[in-house]
Amino acid sequence: MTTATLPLAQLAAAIAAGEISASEALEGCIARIEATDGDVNAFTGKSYARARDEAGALDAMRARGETLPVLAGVPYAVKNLFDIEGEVTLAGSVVNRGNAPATADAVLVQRLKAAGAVLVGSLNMDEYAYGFTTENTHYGPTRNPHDLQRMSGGSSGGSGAAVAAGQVPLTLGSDTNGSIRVPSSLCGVWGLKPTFGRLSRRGSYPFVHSIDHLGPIADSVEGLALSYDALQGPDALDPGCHALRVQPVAGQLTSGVRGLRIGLLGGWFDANATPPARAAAASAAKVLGAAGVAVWPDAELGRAAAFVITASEGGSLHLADLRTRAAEFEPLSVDRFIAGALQPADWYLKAQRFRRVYRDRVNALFEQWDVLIAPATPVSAPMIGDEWLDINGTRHPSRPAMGLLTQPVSCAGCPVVAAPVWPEGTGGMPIGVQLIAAPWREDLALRAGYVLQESGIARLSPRAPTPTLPRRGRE
Amino acid sequence: MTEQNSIDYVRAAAAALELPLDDAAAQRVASHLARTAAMASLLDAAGLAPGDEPAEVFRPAPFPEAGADE
Repeated sequence: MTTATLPLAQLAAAIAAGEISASEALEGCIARIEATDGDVNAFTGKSYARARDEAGALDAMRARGETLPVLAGVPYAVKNLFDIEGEVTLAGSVVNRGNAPATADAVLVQRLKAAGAVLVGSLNMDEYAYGFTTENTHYGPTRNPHDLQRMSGGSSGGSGAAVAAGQVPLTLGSDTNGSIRVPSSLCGVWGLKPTFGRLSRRGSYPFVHSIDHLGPIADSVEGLALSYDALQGPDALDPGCHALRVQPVAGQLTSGVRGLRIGLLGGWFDANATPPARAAAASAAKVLGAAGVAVWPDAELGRAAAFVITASEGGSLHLADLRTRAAEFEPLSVDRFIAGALQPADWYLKAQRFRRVYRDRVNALFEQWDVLIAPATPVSAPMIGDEWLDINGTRHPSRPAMGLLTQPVSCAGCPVVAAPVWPEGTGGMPIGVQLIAAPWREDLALRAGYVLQESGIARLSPRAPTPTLPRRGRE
Repeated sequence: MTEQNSIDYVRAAAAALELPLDDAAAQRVASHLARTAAMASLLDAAGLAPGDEPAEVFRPAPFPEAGADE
């Protein structure tokens, strides 16, 4: 096993033990990126000089006998809506190219740096995060490393694909309606959408202020937990950051699920899942000893509220540019942005009023359950360019339909771990399973994820130690 | 809303916001707006009471007190 294929926790341990240096780990990572990204197209920016400085500083610390921080030498990359000092924050657009470079790193990048992680670059995404496919017209589609003809998911598609391709063991993404969970599902990697308000969003380019979450994607549950602990902390300057202290989870991962009330979500989450997605969730439910089927309250209405709020806030945010520079926007989403900007206020206010009622109904459900299970996407990765999905005989437009099962959950703000499961009937492609907990109970979702990982049912696909990826078949 | 009503609305609202749209764009935008209108109509049936206020800064639940079950 090379350094480029060591799981995050083992890599960090090897660096801490002095078995390999941070610089050696970084060069292995860079080699993997250079060998694979021509096919995958996950990266839109590479910060190798900065990374070599950071890795060198860590090796110097070790040489001085200093204790290394917990993620020392772990290479990572971020969705290109995170500020990186000295670089322009693109958020997947060309419109932003004329903006001034960021004067500081985003808060979460600062926290990973403090934990010793080494930033190697920025990652592709749907423009302004309005999409589930990362078929970015400006920067090209990010391709699914397991089948280069297929979508990586989005909007954090580069973040999912970079981990799946073994380029880095850790990435950061954002999730408003499913944008961490959808690419995690389609690429077969671990994702964590924390509780709304858990992590600071300061220094990231917004999409929907009311629903935007940030979080990690990693190669293992340990990778999620270690990075999530490093990312936590109050931020009084982010009005959407409600956490008042750190609640570490890494020490609890192995606590198991005995005594937890675990259920499989039926209703909406069953009706809008194809047989392989249902099988993925059912297999997770079996391993976790699910006690029964639960019904999420008003899932369809929760999705509707998220849809309306997203369109309105997203459209309003970009109205000035839509007036004068619409031709420079992503053709796949510009009309949706404009439609959102034109929505009647009644729709938006009704959605926000419903969201408050909805939160109370969802929280009441968690008085009966600790962890709820559902597929993350209705299907495995579609082909790039597919316009339509068939879900149990009903034709859906593929791009919005990828969020059918994630939007109701993020609208309620609950934390979710996306676990990579490999059901039959997908041609060898993964489908993620959502492990959903009550607000502020990321620990329970991660414990359940660890049990799935230990059982072998949820895992990364064994990846090639040499940069040999499936070849591109068309386009 | 009929298709023509939707297009008329898009044109009028775009004019109010000083957002230029040609006919083809207005039609495409109207089709997206129709999808969102269907979502909004679902919420008409949600039975909201006058006292159900918007979530001004959304909080899914209060942050737990120190020492609470974690």
